[in-house]
Amino acid sequence: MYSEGMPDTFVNTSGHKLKAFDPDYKKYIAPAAARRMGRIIKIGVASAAVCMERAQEKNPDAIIVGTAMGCVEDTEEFLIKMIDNKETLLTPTSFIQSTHNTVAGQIALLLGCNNYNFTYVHRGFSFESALLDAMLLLKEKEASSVLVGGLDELTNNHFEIYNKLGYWKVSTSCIDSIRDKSDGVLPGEGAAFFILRTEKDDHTLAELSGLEMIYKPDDALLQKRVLELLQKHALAPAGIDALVLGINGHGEEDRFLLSLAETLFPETPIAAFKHYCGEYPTASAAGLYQAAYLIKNQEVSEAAWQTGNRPKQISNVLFCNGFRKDYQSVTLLSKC
Amino acid sequence: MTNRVLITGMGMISSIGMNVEECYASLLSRQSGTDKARILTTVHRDTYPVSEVKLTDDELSKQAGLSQDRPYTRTTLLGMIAAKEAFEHAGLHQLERLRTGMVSGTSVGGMGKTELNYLDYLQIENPELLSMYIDTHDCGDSTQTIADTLGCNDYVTTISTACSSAANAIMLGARLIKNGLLDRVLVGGVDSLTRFTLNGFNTLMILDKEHCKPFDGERCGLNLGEAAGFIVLESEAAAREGNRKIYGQLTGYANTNDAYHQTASSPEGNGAFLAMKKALEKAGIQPDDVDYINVHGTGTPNNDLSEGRAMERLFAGKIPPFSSTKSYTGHTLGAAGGIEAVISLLSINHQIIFPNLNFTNKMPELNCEPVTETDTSVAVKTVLSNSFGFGGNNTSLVFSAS
Amino acid sequence: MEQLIEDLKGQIIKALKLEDVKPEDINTDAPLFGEGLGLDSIDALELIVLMEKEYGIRVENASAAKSIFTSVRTMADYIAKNKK
Repeated sequence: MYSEGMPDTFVNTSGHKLKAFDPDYKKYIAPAAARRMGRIIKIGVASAAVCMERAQEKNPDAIIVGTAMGCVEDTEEFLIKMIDNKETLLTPTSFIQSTHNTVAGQIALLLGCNNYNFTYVHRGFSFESALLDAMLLLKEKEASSVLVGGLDELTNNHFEIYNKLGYWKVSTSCIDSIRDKSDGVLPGEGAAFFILRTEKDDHTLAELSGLEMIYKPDDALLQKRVLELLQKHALAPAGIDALVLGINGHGEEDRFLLSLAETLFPETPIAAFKHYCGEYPTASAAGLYQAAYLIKNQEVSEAAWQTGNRPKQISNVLFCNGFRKDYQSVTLLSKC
Repeated sequence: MTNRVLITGMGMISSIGMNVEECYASLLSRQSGTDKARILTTVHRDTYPVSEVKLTDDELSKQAGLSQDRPYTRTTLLGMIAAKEAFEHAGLHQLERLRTGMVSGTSVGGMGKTELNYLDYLQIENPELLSMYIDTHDCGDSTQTIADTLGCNDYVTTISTACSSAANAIMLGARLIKNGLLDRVLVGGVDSLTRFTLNGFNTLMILDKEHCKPFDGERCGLNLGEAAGFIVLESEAAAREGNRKIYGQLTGYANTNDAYHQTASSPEGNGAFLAMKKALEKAGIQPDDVDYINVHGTGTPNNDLSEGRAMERLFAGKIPPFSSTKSYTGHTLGAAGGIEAVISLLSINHQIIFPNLNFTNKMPELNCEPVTETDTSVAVKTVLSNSFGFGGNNTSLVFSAS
Repeated sequence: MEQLIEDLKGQIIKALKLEDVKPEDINTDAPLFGEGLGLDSIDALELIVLMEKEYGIRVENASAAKSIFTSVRTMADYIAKNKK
């Protein structure tokens, strides 16, 4: 079970880069702290602050963050200065901020929270690992309220380097580009945070029933794991009212998800989300946000729908994401 | 069947040895691995001693049994060597496969290669060359590469919480077993020396120009090191297979946050106190039951005071024998919790307490001092191991004899 | 000396990213750490680099830094005495 995440930060600006929206940081972070924070740290802390405000949470029993690349801007800043200055006249701030657990650490610092604090940094499973840990804590009764988030940033250098590798799609229509099955993905970034609780309350969006991570699967294995997940919750594919799919428009990378949808869920309406946020290792956090909203509000924006049909009643949503083929995850959400 | 988490194998490579046996021999002979840098190229070579593994990347590749066909970061090479040792020590290469995973901690990831090539990445026109290196930068690379090679893929993840990374990896591994998600899990951590971290710590002015003096009144900083340390955790049922030795059990663990400052610990060691207290509670034991503490003991003015105060508070003045083995291995950041887990298990299996080197003067603020001579007189059944990282991340683990 | 103090205030604001602070907001004799501007230990390290970068002065360790960085005036006095 969980509550709302962050504000709608996914806005298409900067040409074909899906840069995350910068909220008014002063609302959430004191200037004395904010002055040192790189952009992704501010985005992460602000997102977490909004989430906690919406869930009316002042001191979570645990803070868990997933980030595959960490604080890239600060890392680059320190690294480039170190190379340029030949290891002299270096200042500490960007080094300190470059450690991967800075966001989780800063949230704890600003809250005065002495509780469990972990950061996962495992590629396309960074956010899923954080989510799994949170679910385990609730199951173990070590926590009754956990703040979980996923975030990654797109710096200019990161964009340029991957541009040379031909990794990005250049597109003026994001909605079309996630369907075009060509090479390349939309360059994106963002942060999404959630409060997971054992008890339902007025803020609850949905119930998080199950999570599976499947590494380097083939079609058969992925579909088998999906069926097992559904069976565990006494569901058949027909019981899923909508799919939220992390398709990014890359023909090769989307294969698994599209094959899964065609084979097991041929009639089920499909909503996408990477036209909002682009592709990055923890985009699944944005997708989970979309899926949760879908259950709570019983709708998402018209642009998100990929199929002609629309769900009538949404009780169960299957959220399926892939990152570069090797990292496939499936999450079951239910109305509660 | 109880829900115990048993340890069936260990692997370690550090500045004091290429495997567990060599490291143990160095610990016994008071042989520290701290010296002038031989492998790392840095302007600080003559200023700050480091605790390096004295093999080049090529030599590590050979040791790890890896071919030269693709680039492996030094982090991956070190991790592969220790992980393989633990895996084979536990006999997993000979047993029928159960659900086996891997959790590793690292702070540096592939930075060693990145810092050499970064400006080139921006100039480079050859995409093939670029793609060979760029995907080895992230923290997950070494873990995934090792897990793929050893075949422990049922659940793999990487944790990065600075100096408590490996300890946190061990803690998660235990929970994955207790929650029935895995039968076996390879856990620990790895970090290699890089100019990035050496210069980073230099900006914080916490590096010692001499060999570090943990818990000494005249201490002035840490020595950076590199290492990899892994242990194999198994459920009771899984551990029964194959007639293998059990080296101990992980009975307690806890992670807390100091929430005081981004890099400094609170003067009264609040986070450290809570972590140790909760770990003992998890283990169902009293402070009196602890026979030895392998402290975090980096040798910085801040850490040792904070940790010392926390220990005095928790143990109400009756602190068990304690030592910092960072006086041998240096501070290996993301690997520290892993190699110190191995050292804690060596302590239990050999009934020995290792000394804290370079100690001369008691800290004026504390009543306690570390063990300075190897001690075989104490019956070591329970060891508390501390790992405290930036971002106020505090983890304590309790290892017990099986 | 007055020019040095003015320059110093600007450099401190820039180095420590004190975005909402103007040079005229900084009282020359007020404590920099604790109260006053409320700087912390990381800021002290940044100021040590500032001293070397702008004035060629090496502050050897964190404890020497404490007395030098008491206020803008003590910093300016130290620079005037030791500038290379």
